[in-house]
Amino acid sequence: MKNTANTANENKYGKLFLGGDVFVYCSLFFCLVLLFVFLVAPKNTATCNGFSVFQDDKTVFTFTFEKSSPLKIESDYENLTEVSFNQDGYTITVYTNQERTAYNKIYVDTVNLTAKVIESNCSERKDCYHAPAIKTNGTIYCSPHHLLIKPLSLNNKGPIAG
Amino acid sequence: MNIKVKKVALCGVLTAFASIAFILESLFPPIILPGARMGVSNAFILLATIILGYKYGFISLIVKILISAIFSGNLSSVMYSLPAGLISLTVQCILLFKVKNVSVIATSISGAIINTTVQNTVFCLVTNAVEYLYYLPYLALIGAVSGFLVGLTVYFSLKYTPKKLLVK
Repeated sequence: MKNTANTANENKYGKLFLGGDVFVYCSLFFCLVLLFVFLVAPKNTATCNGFSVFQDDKTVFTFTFEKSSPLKIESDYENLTEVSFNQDGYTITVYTNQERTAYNKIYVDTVNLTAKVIESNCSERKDCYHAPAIKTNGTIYCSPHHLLIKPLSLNNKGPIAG
Repeated sequence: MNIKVKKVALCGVLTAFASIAFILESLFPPIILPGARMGVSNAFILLATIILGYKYGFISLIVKILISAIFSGNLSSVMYSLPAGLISLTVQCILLFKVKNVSVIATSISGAIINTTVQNTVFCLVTNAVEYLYYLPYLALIGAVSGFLVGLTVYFSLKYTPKKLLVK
């Protein structure tokens, strides 16, 4: 392998397109098609039954749509969770440390059966806040707070990812 | 100036630019989906690899990942960004130095897609969130677009940077 590739391959770096690119682009296109075929295309026949929220593999709370008392908060998190609700859904604030300085506010929409992070102080970027609302597909993960929101699906005959 | 000293200095400058680009990018919201980013910092890593060689490229990558994790306050991200970065840079090095007829842009797009795929897969395994794989095809597609733009940046940087500024 040449260290001073700049001089050795000056012609290679001076062109926008080379013959070998066709093979590379075809291979990448094929891989992308495979990813879509296996992970997105299969129809998910699951019905969303609720959501589970975890922190470092420990369950924080479980929300089940079908039950009369839908919210079950684990004992470790009883003092770290605040709940408010209106006719359309529940707003659940989860404090992710004992000092109650780090939090994620999760909104569970009981009409559309979706969950979304509506407020967080995790980072400037706030990936969790910008994640789309989840129903039967996908998940929301807040990396700085190690908080994971997953749908509870019954009769899941769809793709592993859905 | 001694060639090795010049190389180390240039490697340091490119690594600093890569780290700054990564940290600045962290201040902006993700593109369309969580985890999606432009990957501007990869342009500097690719430049370091092409100008200085694969050893400096790997050093630059590892230092950038560690510095970015420390400054963004998210050390756990090293778990999935380090293996993804190493695998994608290895593939890029093979395409750059071992395969003759592959352009910088194709190399960059391959690196971006592989990086996204490995990062997403490791992330799913570490966090036990297999459902996150649902976003992988879309993230790979965004990665392809950002890889193209990064490749174009590297191409024009190499084209218009005066040769005397580069290490020979």
